[in-house]
Amino acid sequence: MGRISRRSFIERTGALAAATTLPTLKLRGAAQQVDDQPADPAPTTRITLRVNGETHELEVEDRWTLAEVLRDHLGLTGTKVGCDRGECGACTVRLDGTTVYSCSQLAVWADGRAVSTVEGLADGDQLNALQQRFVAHDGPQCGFCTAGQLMSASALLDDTPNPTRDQVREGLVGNICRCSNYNRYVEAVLDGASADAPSARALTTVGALTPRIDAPERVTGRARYTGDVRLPGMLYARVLRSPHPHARVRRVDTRPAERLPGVRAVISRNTCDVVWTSGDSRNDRFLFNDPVRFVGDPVAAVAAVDRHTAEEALEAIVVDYEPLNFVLDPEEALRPGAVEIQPGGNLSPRGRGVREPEVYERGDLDAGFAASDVVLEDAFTSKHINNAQLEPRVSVARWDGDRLTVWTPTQGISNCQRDLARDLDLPPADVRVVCEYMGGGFGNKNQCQDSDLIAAVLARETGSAVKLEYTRKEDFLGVHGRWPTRQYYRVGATRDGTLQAIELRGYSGLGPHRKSSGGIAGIELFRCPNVRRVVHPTYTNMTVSANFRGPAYPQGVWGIESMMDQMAHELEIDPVAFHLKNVSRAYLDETPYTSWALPECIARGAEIFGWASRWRRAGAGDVAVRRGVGMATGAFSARTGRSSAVLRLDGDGHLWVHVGVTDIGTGAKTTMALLAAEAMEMRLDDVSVVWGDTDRCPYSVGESGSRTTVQTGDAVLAAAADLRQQLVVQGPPRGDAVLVAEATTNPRIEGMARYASAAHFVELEVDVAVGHVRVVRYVAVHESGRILNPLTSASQVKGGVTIGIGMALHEELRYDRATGIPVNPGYYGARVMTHLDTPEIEVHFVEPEDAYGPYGAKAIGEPPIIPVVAAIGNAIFNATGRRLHELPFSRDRILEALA
Amino acid sequence: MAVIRDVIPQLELFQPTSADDALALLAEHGSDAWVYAGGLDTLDWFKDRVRRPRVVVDLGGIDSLKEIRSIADGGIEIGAMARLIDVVEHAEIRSQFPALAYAARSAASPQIRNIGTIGGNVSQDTRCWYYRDGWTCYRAGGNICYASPPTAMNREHCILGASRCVAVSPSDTAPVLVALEAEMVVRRGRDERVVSAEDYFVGPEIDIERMTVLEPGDLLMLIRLPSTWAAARVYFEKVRDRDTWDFPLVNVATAIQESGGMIQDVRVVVNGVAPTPVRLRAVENAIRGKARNEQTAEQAGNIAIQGVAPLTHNGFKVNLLKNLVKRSIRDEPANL
Repeated sequence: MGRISRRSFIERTGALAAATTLPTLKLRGAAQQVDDQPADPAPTTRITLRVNGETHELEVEDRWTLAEVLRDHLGLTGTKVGCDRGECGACTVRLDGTTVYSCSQLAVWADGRAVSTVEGLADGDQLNALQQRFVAHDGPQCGFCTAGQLMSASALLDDTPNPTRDQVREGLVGNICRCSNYNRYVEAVLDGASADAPSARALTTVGALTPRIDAPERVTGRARYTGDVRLPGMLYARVLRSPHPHARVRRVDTRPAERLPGVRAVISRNTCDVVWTSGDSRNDRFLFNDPVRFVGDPVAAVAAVDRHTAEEALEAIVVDYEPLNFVLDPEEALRPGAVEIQPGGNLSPRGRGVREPEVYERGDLDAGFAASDVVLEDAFTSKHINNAQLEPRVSVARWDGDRLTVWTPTQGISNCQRDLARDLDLPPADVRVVCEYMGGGFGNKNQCQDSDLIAAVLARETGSAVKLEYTRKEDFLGVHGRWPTRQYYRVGATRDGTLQAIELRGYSGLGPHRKSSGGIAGIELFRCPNVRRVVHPTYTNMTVSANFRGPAYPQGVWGIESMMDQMAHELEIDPVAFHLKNVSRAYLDETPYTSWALPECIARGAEIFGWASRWRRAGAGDVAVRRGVGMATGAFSARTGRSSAVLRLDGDGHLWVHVGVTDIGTGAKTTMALLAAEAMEMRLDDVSVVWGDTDRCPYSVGESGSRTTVQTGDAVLAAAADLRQQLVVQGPPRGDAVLVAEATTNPRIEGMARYASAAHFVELEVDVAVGHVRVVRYVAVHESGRILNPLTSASQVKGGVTIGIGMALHEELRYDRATGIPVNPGYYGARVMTHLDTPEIEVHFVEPEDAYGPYGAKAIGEPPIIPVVAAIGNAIFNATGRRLHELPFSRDRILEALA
Repeated sequence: MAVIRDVIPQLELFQPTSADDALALLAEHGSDAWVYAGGLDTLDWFKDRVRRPRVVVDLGGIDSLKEIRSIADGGIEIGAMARLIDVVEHAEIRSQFPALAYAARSAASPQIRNIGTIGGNVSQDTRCWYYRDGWTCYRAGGNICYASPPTAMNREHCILGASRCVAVSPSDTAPVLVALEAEMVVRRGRDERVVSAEDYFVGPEIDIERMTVLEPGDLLMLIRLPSTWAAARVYFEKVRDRDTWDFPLVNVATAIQESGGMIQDVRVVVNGVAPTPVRLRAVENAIRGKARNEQTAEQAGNIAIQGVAPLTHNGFKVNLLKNLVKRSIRDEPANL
């Protein structure tokens, strides 16, 4: 054989034999017309793809993945890319009937083969049977994983038309759902009866089992997420990040990158001094900082004609770093001699310049301990874990003259607009924020993120629209996760099981910037005369920490509930009895609750779970597989606050609800629609929601802190009341006439606290030989006032509990201590929960009357994760007699504890 | 680390349709060529831009490498490009060597088994975080191991047999193949050689930059399972963090020829504890000829951990190794 050319092989494959007379699309880069193409074009191959029955002839670059071709070049954006590494499953398509990760498949491999994507499932507007079941069983929360779940489920059902529950879990196990709605997806595939029942206090629409009004969009791939936005002439941006945890940036030379063909702009600290104030930053945080203070801190950003060119350009940027000392652990960061991460020291200031820890106290601690028969001391260490929502951070920015539009997955369009306007020095009216659909967030898409600002600056520099997509690894390092803590407790009680004193000294690692409180919450769950809590929110050189579902609680409740469990054990009291004696009856023992049913949740849960017959004192037995039970409680604020709503009733009788919600996956749009339907005594089908666009929606608080239902819901009800008054006075509108009502509500609750609460019960097995924990049964009883939609509310609980199990058993961002570099960012490294790791979560609601909130509704998004780690830790203690003091309770820690 | 990547840099892709053509390409391009099987390991390297081969030889078009067939002596030959799902579902493999089907099914996720190949599964590179992330360690041609210091994250690394590098082989099928005395048929140009599965894997003391005997120009053609262990009791168990996707923390494959409750012959192989799958010969010698019972299993477990040298974060693997070896002798195989 002589010299072998690539073409000779290609031709020998016979790939082109199937070529038809279809015109070949010439595709290059991002498939838009641009004048300066990159030099040295990559090798291409002509392929034939049959996608959902339609034949496409394409000239593709050999390096393009199938996902890239489907999304960028065929416009089939129903297939999502969550990790681009074959670690999440969002991109699952079927290739000749077989499921594959289209991100981990070269497009040339699909030559001549049949590709099926989510877009091919429905027949026009008619959903197929599986899609209908996904809607009915509330499969999609955020919907970003849904296409992949559907493709795996379709393949499974083609092979196994009547699968067992375990077969479904195994068939779908290659698809992560970070909303963790695994129970629902399995139900949908099985189409079995769901355990959900209408609310005990149902009204007409409120309290019924209502599928999400936008679920059809999410099961068909029609829902447009920010990554699916494609604008004419749009450029692609990438960010260069620091490889050092702490370093002075001596020099950034962007010129070699600027000279590359196809590169339109490079920005760095040299040229950009925009300050990113979002969150709770007590220090000026620039888009590009000097020094850089964590691995992943942005140093420069590039806009180019396609993402391939943008990535090439990053490599051409020359940065001269002067590494500085770094510190990862918050306690070490506060010791004398620790490197100063922010001017003024590493203890994050409480207010402007007040460098003191956060202190809460009541009673007389010394007297409390003196009065105690038993005093316990212990310490607990929780870790930084990433929110890991399926949709990575992505922003698209475009300037129309002086007016900026940013498409971004944000949990609050109004706050994001305000932040962008402030940081870019624009009038708010000149900033439009659009978020149609978003793929989860759990707190790390609050407000405005740096990607929004970087995209906006690059768009202004280039005069073109710019899309900035974070890779999965960047999302793990460059956005934020849960703050790590160390908690030192001392708890005293008398022999009769009455708490006398609680002391907590806590440290939380914020990373180098303050984006949230770094609080350690949980002691307020207990009634106790003498309490002192001192928390040190501390700057470190770890990646930034801020809000992640239930922010301050899951780790804090683990600490305090472990102490309570241990105290009950020492006093030989049943933990349920101990809780019923000691849980809070008034907030911080002084402020009455508007309504409060935690004791009832505990009692109900204990009864449903069969606690009395299952619980025995910890540590008995020497069997290979040890069973144990555990319980823990939680509470979360359900306070009222300011939001607005505009209602418009058309002459044809259709009601439009304008609210500034974005629907992170909780079902906020559906909730707003059903509140309006209830208040107006209309059918849900006659109500539409206008959402996710600051040009079309009034202020809403944002989907964080479990506030949307209460705050924006109150505004919807107030506007509806106004509209009904108008109807009484004017009668219904006719023809082109409309009735419009608006309301901005901000109800005050004087002298009372408003909290949702929960009690969780878990039974698990510990296989001591291999350190494996299997959750056998999980019962979650929640009090969230009136349940407006038991279907989506129970989904929130199931998802929150499942994420909590992952936090308890698997997840940790692990750092190399010598270099300060995290070694395992990404889905595989994070070991988030999968179908097979997830037990059935039994959900029950207690529904007391409450005079505030829409029809008495409280919070349901944040609370479910709160008791989980504690309940599991307590159950492991009950099974093995060993209490684990460091998260996660992974196999290594369990084996070491039992060794 | 500084440059976080997702898209694949330029590559020149060849898609030969015969093994001869593939071998000719590999001969021509030598160390510039990268063999692409299912692509799972490969695309990670490319997207991270830690590996940038000039030429990529895609074996996906070579049908002869995908065959699974029975052979005259009762054994089975599995083409290197047979997918893991093919191994899982193959009736003959399931009846003769169920532990191999079980191990193949324990690898990764359904979507990965649908394109991942048996050849790729045994020849894949290690998952050491440091090495995969492009740190210039011994294995990457440097002069240091980042994973072994006490400050390092090494819970997934070696407790046995380390030599400078402490990374482990991540394969689930490899220990089963070693236990079953599989033969790996390797071609280089027109020359074919047969390497026992046990010798297929190369530790750092032999070559720190490779995981297998394959050198540039070599191609793994097929894996031959002789009938020797077809009727044996073969136990496979994998321990990992989650119930899917994850590579093994430790796995074990133990093949026992048993007669009247006595262990006539035995091969005990573990992976995830050393740079290669390891045959525990001391264990085999100690329990050969003994009754298969709790006491023998206990003894096997204790011998298995002789000479272990755990790092800062992987001491748990010692107990895991002991307990898995013990179980593999005492308990009944789960299989499919």
